[in-house]
Amino acid sequence: MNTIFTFLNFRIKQFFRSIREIGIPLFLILLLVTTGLTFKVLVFLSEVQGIEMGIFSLIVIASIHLARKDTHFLKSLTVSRPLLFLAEYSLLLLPVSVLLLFLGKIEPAIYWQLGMLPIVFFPAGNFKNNKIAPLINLDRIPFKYFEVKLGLRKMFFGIVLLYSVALSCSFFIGTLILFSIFLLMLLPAFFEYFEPKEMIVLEYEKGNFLKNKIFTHLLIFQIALLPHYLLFLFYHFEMWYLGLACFIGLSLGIMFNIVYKYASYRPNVPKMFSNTFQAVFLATLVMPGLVLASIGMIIYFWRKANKNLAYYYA
Amino acid sequence: MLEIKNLAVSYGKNEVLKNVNLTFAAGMIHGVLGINGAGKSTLFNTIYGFKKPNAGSAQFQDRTIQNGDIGFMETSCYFYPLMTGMEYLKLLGIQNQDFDIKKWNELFELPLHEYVENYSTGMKKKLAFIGVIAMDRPILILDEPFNGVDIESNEKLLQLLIRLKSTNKIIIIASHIIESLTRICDRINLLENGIIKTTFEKAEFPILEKELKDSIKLKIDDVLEGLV
Repeated sequence: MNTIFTFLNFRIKQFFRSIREIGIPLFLILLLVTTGLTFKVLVFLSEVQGIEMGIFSLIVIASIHLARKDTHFLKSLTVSRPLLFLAEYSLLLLPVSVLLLFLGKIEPAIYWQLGMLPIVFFPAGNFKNNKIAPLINLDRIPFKYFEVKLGLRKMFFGIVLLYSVALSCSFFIGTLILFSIFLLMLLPAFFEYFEPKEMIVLEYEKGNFLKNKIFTHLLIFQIALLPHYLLFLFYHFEMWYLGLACFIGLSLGIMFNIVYKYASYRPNVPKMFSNTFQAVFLATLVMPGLVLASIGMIIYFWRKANKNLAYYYA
Repeated sequence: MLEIKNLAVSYGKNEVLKNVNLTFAAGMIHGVLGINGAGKSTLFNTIYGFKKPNAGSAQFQDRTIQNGDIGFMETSCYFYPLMTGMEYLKLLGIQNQDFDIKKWNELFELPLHEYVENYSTGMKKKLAFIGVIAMDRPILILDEPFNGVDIESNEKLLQLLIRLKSTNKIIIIASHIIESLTRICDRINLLENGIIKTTFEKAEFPILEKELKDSIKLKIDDVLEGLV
């Protein structure tokens, strides 16, 4: 037990250190901006039933559990790993449970806290993308869409899991909204790497580089998401505007990630250093009344991207 | 005694270890030598339990290896983000009441109150090494412990390993630096294409060094003929 307490103690310290690392002022700004997201989550939580919360909790914890990188380190500790996972995940889920109890949702709170139980007995970090990635044949995707290839290689298991769970749970009204938020959170990972300058030159010379890039990626992503929209309309046609909102939100997300990438692009630098603006963008997108701010951000970075590309390649 | 019997391991169709038989006695330092991809890390990962063998077994004192038997220092150890060196050692040494972190750190003078992510490669290696000592396990497996370590620390590591030998531990080391291995090992197993080609006793180390140098020279001569 001593090991588990010491480990949890470190995890709590690690959380507060991460706040200190990003800086208290920036943290407060992000907290303020993400209040909208919290509000949406609260509304969602107040509507869901217990069993749905249990499934949601299982999915959230499974995605963390299966991607753990510390399994070798944990084997060094002579402690029951299921017990350690149980303690760690319970602590992680506790704030939402407290929130649910505060809202008087006792049953969903219990399901939320206990939904993750089966996963603690499952070997952690078992589905590593680097093991699966070489087995996936992505040769059919043309190289100029390397961002799609890269994202799929990096998060194949997570994306497939998320995609199939969202499809199979499409009869729940909140599924498409949650799926869209998860996708918006994953999008930066598709666009974080910069291609070699030769690749840009080749496309840049054809003209309309950014427009083409945005159009083709919107097409690829939205075609892939078509089954979700269709199923949403099939089950909840009366709420068609929610489906449309998800479509617009995701389109804006794709646009932003592309313009932001090329606004920060520098030849000979392999990848983006900071994800702060993506976090702010996501917050403005989900916060009621701030969609205009997200469009403003796209326009700002669109101009910046064009100037940046012209500086290097015009 | 640690016994490896008929061990076979493969990754898909690629057979990495083929019928490996080895015995590691206590109070001795055993070296495992081999080129990149020879199967050293796979051998260690299988002994430690990260990788399931296709056939064969590893037994310690005539029983299956348990979680607390081995202290394993991997080629590149995992360190949590925003974790200090002190926290790392406290976690690993939590079962070992006699372990004095400050005293041990006098050996390498690591900045234990700083985050490990700010350490250099060599410093991380030294921290991982102290971590393995902190666990106080009867078997120590060290995969490339000398990589990235400065000359002074390398010497300290060698001296320390010689001292640890007298505590009746089983020490197994894989390294590309043959000079370090021949200095401290009592026995060196040469791993080639997944099989133990030869086991050299201390008296035979000069033969091993000569054999290796000759075979490398032959390969170089073959490749460079007509090029340079």
